[in-house]
Amino acid sequence: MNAQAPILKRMVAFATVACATVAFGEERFPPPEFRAGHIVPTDTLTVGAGSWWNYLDSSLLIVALALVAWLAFHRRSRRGVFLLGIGAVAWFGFVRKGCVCPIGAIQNVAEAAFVGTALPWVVGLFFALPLLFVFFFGRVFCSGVCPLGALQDLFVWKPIQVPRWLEAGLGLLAYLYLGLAVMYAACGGPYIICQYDPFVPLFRLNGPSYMLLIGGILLLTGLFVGRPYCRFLCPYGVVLRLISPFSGRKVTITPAECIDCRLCEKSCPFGAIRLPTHHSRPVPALYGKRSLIALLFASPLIIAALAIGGWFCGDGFSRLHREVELARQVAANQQQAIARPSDELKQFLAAGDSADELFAHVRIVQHRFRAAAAGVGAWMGLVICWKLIAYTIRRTRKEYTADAGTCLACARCFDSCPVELKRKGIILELPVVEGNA
Amino acid sequence: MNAAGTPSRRAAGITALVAGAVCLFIITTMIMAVQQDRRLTPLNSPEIARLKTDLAERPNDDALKELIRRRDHALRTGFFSRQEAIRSGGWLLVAAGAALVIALKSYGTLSKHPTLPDGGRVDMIRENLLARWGVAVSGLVVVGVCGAWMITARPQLPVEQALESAAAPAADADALSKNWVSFRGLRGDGVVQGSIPETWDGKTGQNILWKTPIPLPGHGSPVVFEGLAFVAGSDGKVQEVFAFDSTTGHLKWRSAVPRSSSQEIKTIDDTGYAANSPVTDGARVYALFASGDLAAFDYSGKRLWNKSMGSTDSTYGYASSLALHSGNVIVQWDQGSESDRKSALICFDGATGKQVWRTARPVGAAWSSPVVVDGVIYTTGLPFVMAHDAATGKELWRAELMHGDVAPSPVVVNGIVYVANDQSVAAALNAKAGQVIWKTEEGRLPDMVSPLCDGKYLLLTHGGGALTCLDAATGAQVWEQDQDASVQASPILANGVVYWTGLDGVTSVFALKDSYERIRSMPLGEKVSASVAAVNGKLYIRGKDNLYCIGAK
Repeated sequence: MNAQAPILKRMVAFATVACATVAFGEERFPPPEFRAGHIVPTDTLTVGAGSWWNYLDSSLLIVALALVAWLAFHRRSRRGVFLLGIGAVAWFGFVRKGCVCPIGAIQNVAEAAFVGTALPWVVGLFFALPLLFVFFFGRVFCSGVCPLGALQDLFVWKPIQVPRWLEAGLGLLAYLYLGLAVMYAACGGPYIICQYDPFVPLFRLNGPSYMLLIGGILLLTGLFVGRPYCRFLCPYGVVLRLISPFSGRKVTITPAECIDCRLCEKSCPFGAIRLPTHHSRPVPALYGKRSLIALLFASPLIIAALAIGGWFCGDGFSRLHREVELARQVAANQQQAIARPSDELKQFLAAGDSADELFAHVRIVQHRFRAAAAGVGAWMGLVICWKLIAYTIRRTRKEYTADAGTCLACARCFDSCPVELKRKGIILELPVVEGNA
Repeated sequence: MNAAGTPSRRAAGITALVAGAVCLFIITTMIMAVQQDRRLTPLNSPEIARLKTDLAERPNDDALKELIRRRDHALRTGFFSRQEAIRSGGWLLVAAGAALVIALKSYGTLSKHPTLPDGGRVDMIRENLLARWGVAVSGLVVVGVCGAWMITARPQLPVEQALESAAAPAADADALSKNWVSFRGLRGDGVVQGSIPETWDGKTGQNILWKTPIPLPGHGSPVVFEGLAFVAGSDGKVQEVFAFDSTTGHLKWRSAVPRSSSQEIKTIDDTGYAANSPVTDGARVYALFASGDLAAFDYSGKRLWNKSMGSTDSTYGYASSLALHSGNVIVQWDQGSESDRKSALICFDGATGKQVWRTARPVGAAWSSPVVVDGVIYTTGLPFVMAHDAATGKELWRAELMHGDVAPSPVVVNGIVYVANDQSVAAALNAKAGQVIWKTEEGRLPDMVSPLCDGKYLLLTHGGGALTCLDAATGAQVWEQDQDASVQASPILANGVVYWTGLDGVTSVFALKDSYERIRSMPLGEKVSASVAAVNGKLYIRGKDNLYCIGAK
């Protein structure tokens, strides 16, 4: 049976991806090419989801957040968190199709803040509630409420410990993604988080084939690298990661005093467990001070350089803005008629709108993008410097701890702790640890 | 923790196996359904295609039509049934997959053994150093990718060129007035400074200095500045400006204006695609086409800038000529109906193409051209005669006098604006305030040709050839005369003598006085619809196919 389990686990991974892929297809055909007196019905607008859905979703979010906090901190139940995660995947994922979600809500909030568009209360609530909870309980939203995280959690099979240098390097991507998402939303551009969400197409059993493929690859990667999207890409995770060190309660691996047994050391598939200092080789007293001073002096220069670089990238980033792209096509068409114009270009030409007005408007948009891209550059500079400094500062830990920023409160490590197992009555005696006996 | 014996673990394993088998079955079924789905659609059905081919040969075969409908309906029904099945299968697969995951998780949990990590103490110095390198390398990769993105994905838009410093200065007003720089000359009144040839004959070549073919058709007049004569032409696909040596007639250059839109241009034959006249300011030449594409060229033919005004909404095709003011180009962009609010008067910087100002106009489409006199732009439109400050575009006054299709342009002489249009009135207005001095409906009012005025008499020309001479001071009719020739070109006045060119290319010469008296008439031997340009004792006439230069040999 042990040998069959991995095969079956792989099967389910492929099955889900294949299911979503095959379900994607064209559903509309042009009408027949001859007339038969059939009157094509007029298109009608679909009535939007009633407000009671919003109340229900909001209520369920509050209940789920409270429940997962209770399960992680009071019950310390991995099974409870896991089952809640399945519920979240089912409801917020498959039933509600992954929308509204706090991750995408970042963009609504950014657009409301910078452009002044209205922010629906339910979107604001979905954005704010997990943040509120993180102030008290850490990243409990990630553990069992976020459908994207919970879906990946299901696929964790034989997680490897990602080397720290790789984890640190890949970790930058999420900060960049957050910066870009805010930039686009603030400039009236596309909602890239939603547009390139790898899991929502799976929840909807439909979507662009490349996104289904990316979602499938991430899930397959998740068999060996726990929650790759959450750790290396999720922009909302960045926000939560920044706040969670200040949360009132933090996840503790052991419910009582750590006996330093090392059994939990590799139990976290997400690399969130930090070793006590005495398990590492001694660090000289003056180590890193020179690097720290150099970094502190270099930081403003790095931030400024990346801000300037960002400014120059603004035009390129603006390419995803639909009006900029249309203007590009119009300009290209002016030089030489495009053989196969896009629908947008055909519509623009048919409407007879002024290209000059479009260009003038686009120049304003591009200027906004340049400014926003400079902000993203500065933000990335800040993150890089902060990370470099963080890896230079010496820290002292007396016992195994879950890193407040990285820990997803999934409760996996609890069951590896003999103190926890004794508390639950699974074992009667604590193991004898060499050196502590 | 002995494995095999735990009933729960065994149950989890069996559940996982069953769920996995169900998943496999569903996947296989769905893949088959998708394959079938791709094969059997109304879009790529060979049978439907064959039947449609048959239908093309037998278009009245009702039985065949009915068969196509039935087959098409069957294929559509089958497609959507399979789609529904795939959707249901997807949900079944999700359910089976969930059962499989739960079973596998349970199995894994029940099989778990606590293990101690390998290895001894961790070297935190090395770990942190590597982490810093990870951050640095990742940061560099991000910077590199963004840099590459910047270079490759930067949208190529027309840049607003900073040409001011490099731009050649426009000629001064004196030089412009001595040349023929716009439709009917700088003031748009058709009055020639100096003398012009008294006679010519296109058939015999008398006084024809040169004759050069114009590569593309157009109705716009030539404009001339010192050594160059410019005309614009377009066949609807290609739009070009041509520069001829005014002495030899040699085509010095031709430059294209790219079409900004592949949209079909609405026009009629009498208007065509290059009905309006270009303008030149002594340093650059500007042309606007019926497509709405406006462009500027220097005197070597290099295109300096071009822009799209948007597609035109003009019943007969766009025909308003450009005007000049202080190095700026004025566009009377009258479009659609009065209520469409599409019309505007727009001023562009000649050197850069930047919009200087734009003033909305409460008028519908018109085919008249603006005239600029003493810093004021005068226009006729439907229904207003309007005056705008040429420096700011600010409307100075308006008078509701026009009806019908407004094509004749205004003329301004001695501080009085003269306007006339078929189906409405001929009128004189105070140029400063717009008060109507007189108006009359007498005579055959012009439907296309612009008025001619020497300050004493006002000559109106109907397209059918009827001439009406009014007293410029009172509007009283002085005389009427039928020319027995259709006409589209506006006449010019030189030394008190009118040169009036009909569509047949015959120019009648008569004095503008209290009675009509034809002095002579000269044939060109080619149709003429464009107004004549006159500079330095020479006439430049655009025939249907050729540009002529006429002067004393």
